[in-house]
Amino acid sequence: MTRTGFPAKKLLRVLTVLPIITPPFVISLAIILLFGRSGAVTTSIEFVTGFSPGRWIYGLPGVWFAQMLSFTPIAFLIMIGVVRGVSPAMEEASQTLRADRWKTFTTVTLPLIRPGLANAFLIGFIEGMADFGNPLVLGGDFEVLSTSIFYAIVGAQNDQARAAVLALVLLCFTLSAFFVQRKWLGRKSYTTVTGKGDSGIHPHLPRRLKWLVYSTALPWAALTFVIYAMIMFGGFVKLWGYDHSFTLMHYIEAFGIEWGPQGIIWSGAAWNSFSTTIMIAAISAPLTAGVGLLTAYVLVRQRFGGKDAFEFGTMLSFAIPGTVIGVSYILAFNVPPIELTGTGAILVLCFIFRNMPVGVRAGIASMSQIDRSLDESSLTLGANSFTTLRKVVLPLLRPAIVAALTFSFVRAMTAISAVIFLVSARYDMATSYIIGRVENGDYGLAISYSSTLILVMLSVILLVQYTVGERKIGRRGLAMDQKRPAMEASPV
Amino acid sequence: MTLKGKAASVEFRGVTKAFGEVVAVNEVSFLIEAGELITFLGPSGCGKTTTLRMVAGLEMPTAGQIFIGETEVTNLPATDRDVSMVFQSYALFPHMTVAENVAYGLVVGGTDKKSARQTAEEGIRLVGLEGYGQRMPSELSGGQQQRVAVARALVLEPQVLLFDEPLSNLDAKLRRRMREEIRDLQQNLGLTVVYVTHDQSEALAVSDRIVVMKNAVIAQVGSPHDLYERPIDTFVADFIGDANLVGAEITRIENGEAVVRMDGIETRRPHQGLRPGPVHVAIRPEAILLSEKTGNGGLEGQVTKAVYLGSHLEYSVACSLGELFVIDHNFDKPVKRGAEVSITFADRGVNLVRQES
Ligand SMILES: Nc1ncnc2c1ncn2[C@@H]1O[C@H](COP(=O)(O)OP(=O)(O)O)[C@@H](O)[C@H]1O
Ligand SMILES: [Mg+2]
Repeated sequence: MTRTGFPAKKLLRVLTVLPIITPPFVISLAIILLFGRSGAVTTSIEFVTGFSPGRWIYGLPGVWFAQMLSFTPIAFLIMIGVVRGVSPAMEEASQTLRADRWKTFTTVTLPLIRPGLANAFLIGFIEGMADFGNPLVLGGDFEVLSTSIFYAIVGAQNDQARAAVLALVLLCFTLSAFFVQRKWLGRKSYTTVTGKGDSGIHPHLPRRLKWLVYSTALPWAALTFVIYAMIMFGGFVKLWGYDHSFTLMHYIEAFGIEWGPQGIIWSGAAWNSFSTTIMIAAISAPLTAGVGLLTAYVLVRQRFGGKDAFEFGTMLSFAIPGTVIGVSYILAFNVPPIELTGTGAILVLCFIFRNMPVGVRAGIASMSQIDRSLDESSLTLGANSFTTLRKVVLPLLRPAIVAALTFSFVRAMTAISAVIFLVSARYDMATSYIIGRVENGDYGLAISYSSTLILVMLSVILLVQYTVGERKIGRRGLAMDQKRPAMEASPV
Repeated sequence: MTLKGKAASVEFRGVTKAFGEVVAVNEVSFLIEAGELITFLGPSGCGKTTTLRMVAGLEMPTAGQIFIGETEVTNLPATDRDVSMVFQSYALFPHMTVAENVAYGLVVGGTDKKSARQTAEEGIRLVGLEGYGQRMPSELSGGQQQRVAVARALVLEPQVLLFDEPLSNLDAKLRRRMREEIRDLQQNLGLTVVYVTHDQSEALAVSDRIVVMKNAVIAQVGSPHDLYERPIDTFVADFIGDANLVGAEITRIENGEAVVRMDGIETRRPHQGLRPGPVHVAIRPEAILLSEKTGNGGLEGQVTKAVYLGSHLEYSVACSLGELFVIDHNFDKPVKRGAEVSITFADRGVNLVRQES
């Protein structure tokens, strides 16, 4: 898509960033509003044909559909990097060697982006295996590994052993995908942009391909648009499918405020989980960023063995499904000496360790660009180490700090798979609260809560962007941006 | 079989290329003879690359016509032109071996595998890389990659071979050798080569003729000798070699020579088509001769800087014409800093030039 000279490219990019800050199950919610039993599409089909499609969307087709919509943006972000990474001079060279557009595409462009394609595919696979939100909402009787694990722990069975075994199976799958990816890409990855030299223009795609690209991208964009419209408006409708009159009922139910004799009463049902979420996210974001960047500083500035092992470790952590993490935290901290289950600390802890790798990668990326001589020269000018850090290193690190902060904040707000095992009545998170509501069929509240979350994150990101001027934002966007150099350039 | 060129001429007729508001090439016309190595020389951003890319068919002109041989190719895309290009970054395909890279153009062009392989081998041998056919480009040094890029372009026996700053990614020593090799190949195979560079010494060394470009137009076309000896304006005089530019006036034209007054001194020079009036004199640093002060009139000055550089001496001399930069190959009589000197000019290397437009 970066190649088609398509006018609405910018809009398309915005549409792809939006899903990144969307809690994972929201897509399923919107799909229910569209295709569920009383969904908009379903009812209109029924009206026109007199035939009711029924509950086909619950189960495999729905999960598949939701997962596809949820993970296209990730694939898109990976591919953008890959496609941009192919130097236009390559394709121009091919053209001057008498290859037409089609030949150029098949013999040069495609082989060069193949590792990226595989990457996108495998990441999609790992994420799809590990994801939890969509199958939980849309699965119906159809269970996937991650939901089975959930029911094993949360359901009537409360069978931790079964959960552990299932978690292990899941882990095996994603890890094998991860290793396949590394092995395959280790041998075949090319970054062709050398930085020096020709600044040509990417030739346009061959015509047949162009139509293929348009005919997939445009409907996809339209669908995404409709889905977000659903999410935004769904919260203002009394009872979806039956009574479409405008109401603030759900918002009042969730975020109602009343004035009582003792001052403000936070009467909305969502306030508890909302404030917990914001608090946990606000606590864990700076901690995550701090720990991540310090680790990065140590890794870059102090040379020691095991650096590669650490790098590898951070990559690996992306391949471990949240569900597995959740289960392992329960197993580890449910028993003395450290009993943390049900506290806020376990949530913070979980977020820090889960999201730290991104901080580390962002830190490493920008710190390796800061020459050591820079802080040395500051030292020789009479500044002590602390001043050096504050005046010289920190400003240069600002993009990394912003990256780490936003990433961990957004992740803490939207994470579901690990968190759902760790919450308690006292420390409930927004996502798990919403899931609970969905299970009770309370879609209005779930949707209005979700759209509030999206808006909150969007404004936080915009605020950060506005104050710091950092452009790369987004849950996956950051992860991918940081991961990308390692995935493409070095034989990971 | 042996490789040879099917060298053809290249002609631009009033070619303009604009990128939106920016006019990269402005109504340029020239004719490159078949079998000639012509260099486009000029400062960064003057439109050299754009010109080259229009020859290749990677850019289409906004106005004007382009001919290769007898055929008009103005709107023919790169794929359909008989032109090959060596890119600044070499643009070797990283997923193919050296042999596959070199054979690429032949294979996509429908040549059968066997003869494509033979021709590729021939090309690889021609650039001195026998035995490297099975390597990947990433396993080669910069100079070797450059050779592969040349071989890949050569095997198609193009009508025109294009080079865009081919040596800019190489170190100084290698640069010298590669430019000689490119020149040898061109002469042995009788190729038409269009070569872009911003390095004037490189241009002087390899070219049959040089096109000096400035701000999207051609400043002057000529052989290296022409450009050095008879620069047309202050820009060319300064860009090719060094020159001291001194303001002067042509008082009259006499017997086909211009009589020039330069701060009280009168000299006669070829008039270069100039009319009486203000003019610039471009004086090459080695055309300025210093001698012991005579005291009997003429131009006099004082040496403000004297630098020994092994192969020659460099002086700065302050005089009524301003600060003159002087190169002297005569080690017998070195002049000391602060010395008072008489200044005279050689016949060669002192030219009347127009003010650059
Ligand atoms: N694709 C393009 N789009 C817009 N402007 C361009 C493009 N290519 C070149 N230019 C502009 O045209 C001018 C000439 O560029 P170029 O031919 O690359 O110069 P040179 O090779 O002599 O350094 C420059 O001002 C450059 O910015
Ligand atoms: Mg250029």
